[in-house]
Amino acid sequence: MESRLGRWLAGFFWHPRWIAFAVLLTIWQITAVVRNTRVVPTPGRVWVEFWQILSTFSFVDDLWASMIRIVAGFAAAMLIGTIAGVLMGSRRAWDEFLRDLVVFGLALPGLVYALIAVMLFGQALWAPVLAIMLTSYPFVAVNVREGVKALDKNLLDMAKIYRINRWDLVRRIVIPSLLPFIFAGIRLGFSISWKVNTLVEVFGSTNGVGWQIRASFDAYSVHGMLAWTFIFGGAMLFIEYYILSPAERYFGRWRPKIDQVV
Amino acid sequence: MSLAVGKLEGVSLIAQTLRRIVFNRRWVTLVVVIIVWQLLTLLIDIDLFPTPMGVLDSLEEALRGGLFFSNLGDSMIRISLGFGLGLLAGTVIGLLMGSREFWNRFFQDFIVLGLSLPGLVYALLAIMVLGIGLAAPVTAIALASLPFVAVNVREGVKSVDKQLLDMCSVYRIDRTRLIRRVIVPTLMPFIMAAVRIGFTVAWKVAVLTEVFGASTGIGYQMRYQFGIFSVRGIVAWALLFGVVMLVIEYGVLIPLERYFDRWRPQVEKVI
Repeated sequence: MESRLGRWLAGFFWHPRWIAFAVLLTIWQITAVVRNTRVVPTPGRVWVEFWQILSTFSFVDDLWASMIRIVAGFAAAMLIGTIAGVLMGSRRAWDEFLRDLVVFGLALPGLVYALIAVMLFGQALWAPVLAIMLTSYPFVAVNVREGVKALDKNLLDMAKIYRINRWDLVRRIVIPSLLPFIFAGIRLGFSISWKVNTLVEVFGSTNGVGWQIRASFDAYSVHGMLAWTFIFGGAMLFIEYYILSPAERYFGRWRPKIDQVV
Repeated sequence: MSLAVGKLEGVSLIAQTLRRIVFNRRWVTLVVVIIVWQLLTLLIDIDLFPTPMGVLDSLEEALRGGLFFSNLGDSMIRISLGFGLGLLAGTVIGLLMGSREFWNRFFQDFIVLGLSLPGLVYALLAIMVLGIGLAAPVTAIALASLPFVAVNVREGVKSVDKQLLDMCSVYRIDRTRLIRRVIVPTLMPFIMAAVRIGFTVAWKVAVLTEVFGASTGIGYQMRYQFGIFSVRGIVAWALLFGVVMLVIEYGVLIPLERYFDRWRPQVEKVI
């Protein structure tokens, strides 16, 4: 096929992934039948459950509740993280002062923040916001710091010589340089945010995706949990891969390529 | 390079290290944190908000009678078994993915999915399907760390210098020597990176699994503290566990990684 769409379709369907998918389904089906299907649901059962949840539209309530918490927490994390990153990138003293806090934040599992936040704030919005903020801000901070350190000194000196005023300096030099790093931080931070939020909801909420997952766990409903995971995970991955990553690449297009592993 | 250090040099080495630890500006951070924390406890009106002294009490309780260390041991057994499995499987898959494009495409979607699934899902699913016992945490940890290992090993395989391989075939170097002297050194840094990232994932999933489905271990203890509404208890256990993990990361994994990295030109790393 000559058209681009045709080629893309051909590439998508003539792909080993379907073999892998078939293998997975087979193993799954066999496991489900061999072990008690109460414990391991068949793929068909999960599929049915998936569509049942989607068709009632009530899932939107839980999804929406979760999204509000995630966005609020993530905004807080972005704020703190950007401030910390800018400070750490510009002055060595701040870097040394904050570095241990950032490293420690990276080391503690989101679980700890989630448990503490739920115990302190119960079901208030503060619980997920605080937990998300504390878990995500190190990722934002580290990336922003690298961005600040990567600011081209030559450009800054040139701006000084030509007496460019501060506002223009920030708008035309600092912000475009920082944007790719900020977006890398956004991508990582967002990824962490929704995972921590799910944890917070599992332990202390009465709505939201995390709560639904908890309810499925309590009811030994593997199909329920899988269905909710796919719906929610699908939405989050969609945001990450089709909105955040392209945005990161768009704002980073002036940069020379850097190899990233994870 | 001999690692033997004379007695005199040994003493001055210790003195140097001590000096670097004590006269370190990083204590400022700790002091400020504690001061701010104490002020916060006076300002914040929540009953459960932990005070520094309260956390110290909990730390003492946790360390008393070796409670912390016995639970740590249980957790470490699960982490070692699970991560060992994940490392093995991940390396095999990574090797496959790096060498043949077919395998790369075969596993690709699963790897991407595996990288993004939250550890919570692995933990809960494993417990529901495998029940309480050793199988659940080990499986969850193995499955969760596998994608990270595979991705790094794949990058390692793809980075093997083709020119070196061609040279080896020209000089008819036998296979064992080829593997030992070209492939393994090239792969080692990537495997070390895989170990470092995978280990982080492994212990986080381990603790999560223990929270929901175990009766010993760090995660279980945190669940217990959560159950008795003891914020200072959780903070204490988290601090202890965090310290152990940091010691392993900075004392074992990073030096190992640098050792295997030493033939490589320096590369800037972000995280």
